[in-house]
Amino acid sequence: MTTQTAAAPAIKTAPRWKFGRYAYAAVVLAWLVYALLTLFAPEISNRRFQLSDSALLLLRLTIIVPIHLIWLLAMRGAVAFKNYSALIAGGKESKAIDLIANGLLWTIGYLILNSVLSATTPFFAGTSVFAPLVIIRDHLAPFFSLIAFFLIYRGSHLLRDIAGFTTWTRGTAWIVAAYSVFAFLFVLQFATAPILDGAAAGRTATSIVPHNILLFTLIVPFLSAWFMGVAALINISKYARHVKGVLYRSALVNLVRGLIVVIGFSISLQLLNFSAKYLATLQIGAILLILYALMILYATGFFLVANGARKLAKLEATQ
Amino acid sequence: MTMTDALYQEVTAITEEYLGPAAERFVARQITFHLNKTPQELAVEDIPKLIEWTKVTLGLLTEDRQMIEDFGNKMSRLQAAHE
Repeated sequence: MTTQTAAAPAIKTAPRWKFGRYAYAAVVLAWLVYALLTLFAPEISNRRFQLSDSALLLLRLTIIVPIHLIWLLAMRGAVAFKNYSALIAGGKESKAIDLIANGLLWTIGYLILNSVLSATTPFFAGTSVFAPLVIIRDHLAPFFSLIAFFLIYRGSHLLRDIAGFTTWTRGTAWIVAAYSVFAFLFVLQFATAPILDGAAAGRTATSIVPHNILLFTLIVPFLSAWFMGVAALINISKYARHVKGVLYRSALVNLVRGLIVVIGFSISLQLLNFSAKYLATLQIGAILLILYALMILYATGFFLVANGARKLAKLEATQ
Repeated sequence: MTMTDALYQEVTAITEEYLGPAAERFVARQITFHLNKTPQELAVEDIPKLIEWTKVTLGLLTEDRQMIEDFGNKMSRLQAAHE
């Protein structure tokens, strides 16, 4: 008599996002470029802080090293999420998840490209390409944000159909009202703000391009992108509460928290950059404190995204 | 929709209470790997074996024994309803 031995449930080999390794390579390459540009930055970048050479080098290293770690952590989170998206390809929520994952990649792209371009512009100070380079650098943010938050919002909108919730509730109406007040004040502040001295402000597009043009090329895109980001946050939070599946919801928690932090950080960072005229009067210690706090928040968000994506992937890998 | 399709959909609906959008893929994997059938070939007499394997697999995802027993009971009631 033979005894049939039942095979234990196994964890199957999961499909992965095929561009994952290239994404990591791109981060390392971008960091090398950024590190070189920062270490060899011309003296014009030190006029504001008046530091000694050794202090300046130390300052640059305290920025370069954590930034690389932050970028790697962020890309790790995004790749983990893309891997999960690949794992559930064909599933009813897969398109939504993939759109959100692509949106996250665009937020990282903005962060890296903005840093590299910011490190590049001092090399062209005093040349004819400096102003166009500054304008391009400053318009990258709304361009990338529009794409990133549109993708994330579009994905979150599809999640609505899966979990069967409605975005437009009384609570959402209050949030929209609050955002409208913020948008009004933001436009008012921009429209009435004095034109800044380029040297004091660290040279941004606000001191190069007329404000009435920037209203349409910067302000409107930013406000549109941030609104989509806020709407996406609302949808993602509601999805986490309404979707079926007690085990699924439990696995989803960290992913949702991470997405909320990442989206919230991205909006905060762009808002902070736009308020650079206030930072121009802050001491270097305060600037670094804000910068590092935002970086830690950003990395924490992507850490939660990676953790959440792994928990969800476990639901798919067991057989 | 054939009867076996309907059975597969009912099994998926029960599993959705635990695994949400991942339920359909989970049930399809259980049927494919442990019953050596396609989901559309699922029959009522397969339910006991499906319950056994699914409970073991759910045990990898949660330590909540009561939840796993509840799932098994719902599947057993489904089988009884089709017999």
